[in-house]
Amino acid sequence: MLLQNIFIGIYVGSLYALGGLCFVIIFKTSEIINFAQADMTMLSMFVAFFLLESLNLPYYAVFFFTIVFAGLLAGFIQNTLVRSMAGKPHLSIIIAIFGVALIINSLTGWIWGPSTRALPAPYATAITKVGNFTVYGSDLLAIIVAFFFMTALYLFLEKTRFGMAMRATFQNRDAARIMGVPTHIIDAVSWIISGILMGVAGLFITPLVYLDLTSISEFMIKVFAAIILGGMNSFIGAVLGGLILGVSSNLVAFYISTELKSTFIFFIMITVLFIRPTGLFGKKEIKKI
Amino acid sequence: MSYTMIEKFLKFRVPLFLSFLFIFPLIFPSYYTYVFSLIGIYCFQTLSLNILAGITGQLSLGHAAIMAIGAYTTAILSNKFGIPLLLLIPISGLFTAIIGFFIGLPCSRMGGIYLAIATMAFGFAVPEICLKWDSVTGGYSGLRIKQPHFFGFVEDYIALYYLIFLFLILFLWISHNLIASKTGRAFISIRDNEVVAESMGVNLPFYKVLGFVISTFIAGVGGCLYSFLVGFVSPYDFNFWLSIYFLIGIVVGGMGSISGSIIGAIFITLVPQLTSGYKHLPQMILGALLIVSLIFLPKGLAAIPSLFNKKR
Amino acid sequence: MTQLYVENLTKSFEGLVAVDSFNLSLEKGTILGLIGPNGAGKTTIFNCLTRFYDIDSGKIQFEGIDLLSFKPYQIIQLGIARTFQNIELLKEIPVIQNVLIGNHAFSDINFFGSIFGTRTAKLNEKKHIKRAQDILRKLGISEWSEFNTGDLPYGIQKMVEIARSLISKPKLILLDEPTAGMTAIEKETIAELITRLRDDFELSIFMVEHDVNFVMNFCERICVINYGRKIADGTPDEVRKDPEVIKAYIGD
Repeated sequence: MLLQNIFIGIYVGSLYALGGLCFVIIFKTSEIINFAQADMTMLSMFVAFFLLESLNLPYYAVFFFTIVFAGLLAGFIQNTLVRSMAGKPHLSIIIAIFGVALIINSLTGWIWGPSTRALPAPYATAITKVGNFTVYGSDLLAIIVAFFFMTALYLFLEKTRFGMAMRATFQNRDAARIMGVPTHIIDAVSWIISGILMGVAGLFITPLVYLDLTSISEFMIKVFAAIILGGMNSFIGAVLGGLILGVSSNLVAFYISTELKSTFIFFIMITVLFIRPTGLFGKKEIKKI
Repeated sequence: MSYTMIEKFLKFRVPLFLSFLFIFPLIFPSYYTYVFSLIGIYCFQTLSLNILAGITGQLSLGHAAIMAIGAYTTAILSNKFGIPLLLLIPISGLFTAIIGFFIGLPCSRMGGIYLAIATMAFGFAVPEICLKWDSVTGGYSGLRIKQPHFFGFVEDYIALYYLIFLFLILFLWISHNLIASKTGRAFISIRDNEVVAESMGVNLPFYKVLGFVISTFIAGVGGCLYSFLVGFVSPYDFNFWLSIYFLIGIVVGGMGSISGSIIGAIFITLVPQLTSGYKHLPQMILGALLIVSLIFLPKGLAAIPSLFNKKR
Repeated sequence: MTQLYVENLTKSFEGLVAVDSFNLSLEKGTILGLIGPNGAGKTTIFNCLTRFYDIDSGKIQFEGIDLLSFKPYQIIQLGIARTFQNIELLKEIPVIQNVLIGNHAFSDINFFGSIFGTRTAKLNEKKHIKRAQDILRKLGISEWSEFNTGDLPYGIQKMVEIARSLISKPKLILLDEPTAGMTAIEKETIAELITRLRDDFELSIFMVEHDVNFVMNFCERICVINYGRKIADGTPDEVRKDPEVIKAYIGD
């Protein structure tokens, strides 16, 4: 039973991790937190629903077009809003992103209304039993896909030239720009990658939490707690934070009370912020005069 | 209107406006009085947030939760112990300020973005507590508050209106004094450059926590009056979007300015009221206003008169 | 009488040594200039003195008091004021308010008195305002006292910063690149001004500067550092002829 719960924890945790990477990649590039991520993902999921139910496209097409949409949406927001606020203080941009979230949220509610929708899991629920241990095919697929994308991101950043340019931007944006790195392109790419990962995470989580105007936000709060735990400027932090949070909150839910699951997550978030705001793996900033 | 007439009007704008506020409910129908009362309540919140974020530079994304504490404290104490309205005002304010103190303590050690996130987390945690602690807070269904009775010559809702504006004007006046005082200067210096503030002798944690305490006290009083005005509190009334609305209020109105708080409160109350037929329109408008303000008018609408001053 | 005593001050950042065993003995009333090539560690030394940085090792004493046991915000109470390289004034408020901020640590105004506008608070505030006006008058900029600081020309803003540092009745003022952005005439004016202030207010002046000529012509004593180490310390004449200094600035 314990193993079962840990497995489910890893399943949810890997989705937290994937969602966390979306935040981290934008944060590392430009020190902006994309608070609109939840609503952008929600909109993408409604688009998926539209493609599936209204246009009756086969699932693999829906999957593909949804993540393309999510990537383009993110790129669009970066290219219009974020770029137009280029010189302004980071806090202003972050607040503006709340405005974006508000607009997307209301737009989505206006178009699709308040009722709850459902999206199917990306893989038919093949169930395998290994002794006492039940493995849902969809859960396992989620873990595999999540780790696939994490590995792809890692390889992209470590092994490609563009990835190296991105890493240079992470380290020292101004120095990178002076050395000829096209930081404006990197900004756009980081948002697009973030969007694509958002789409993937959303397509795996929505079958679990269903799709209405708040379910994705509720999921994203947990993702947020995961990156705070792991450290907002660390990819490893996002992955490990997500997994740790997924497993621990699931164990709390099962062994103590499901009611306390979200309370536990808030507790973790607040504790980390009070004791060590930069998280387990985040780097502290050195003040300069 | 000649130029001197406009100047005269501007010179006496405060007493004129106060007189207008005074006779307003006696002339207009009760619905408008209710809307004005609501503007007044939201003014407490925008003023509160402006003191913390606009003047001291501590961006709080959880101010709806602060308001909730004042509102729920009032509801619970009024229902369970029958404490009268006039006592509940300072009690709610003080209780909220005490909580503000305990939030401020750890927050004072955090940098900008982490502070914002911590207050955001607080903003989620409080409605969650209100939802789950249902024995005290009424949980999902919330709490009803008995409408107060005022002895006097005017109807209850008008008396409440006067009470709201009485306290609001008091707090606006106090805030006005605050900005030009030693404490206000300390706050502003913290907002602009913490290093310089310290070299001027400003004890950062002390003043940041003080900012939290003052801010949350005002928000708590506003929450208390809200309870009596609306007569009902529930966890969903104080969600994260409300915190964002307050933020929109001070950004559009003007961060760090008293008149900005007033303008902001008017916006965030009237936009939903005027578009009440269209369910999602107020959000879209306020979201768009926020973005437009940040890009084109970062100092808010309150800064517009000074733009004209410069041109002369 | 030694007023500021620094012994073996060492400060490094993540392994990189920024200041290496810096020694200094500053006599009361001296005008001392600290020069050195870019990145030599000048501002770092200032930041160590004002306790903004925790140091690795060494002693810092001011009038016999060990500064290391104090927090950054307490330094001004001990009598050390400072200006900043990029004028760090609050642009949105009037000049007089900016000067009054400098008095924060010495302002005796009661909090509740100030927010309720009591008589006592108002009188105290008036007292401080008058002193601020006096200082502005001494610096020749009192006509600008009600203007928004950000609207004023650079030279005037620099004066406001100096006024702000004076209101706390300091014994030592740390000037961070006081002549930055100034014309030759403005530099002459400020040299006269600083000397006059030193005499009128009984100050010691410790400045970090880039303009070597200015420092040579004006300071009574000069310290030169390079790569975090002090390479010369003496009168302008001594320093001018020091081979290490010449090497540092011009190269072999």
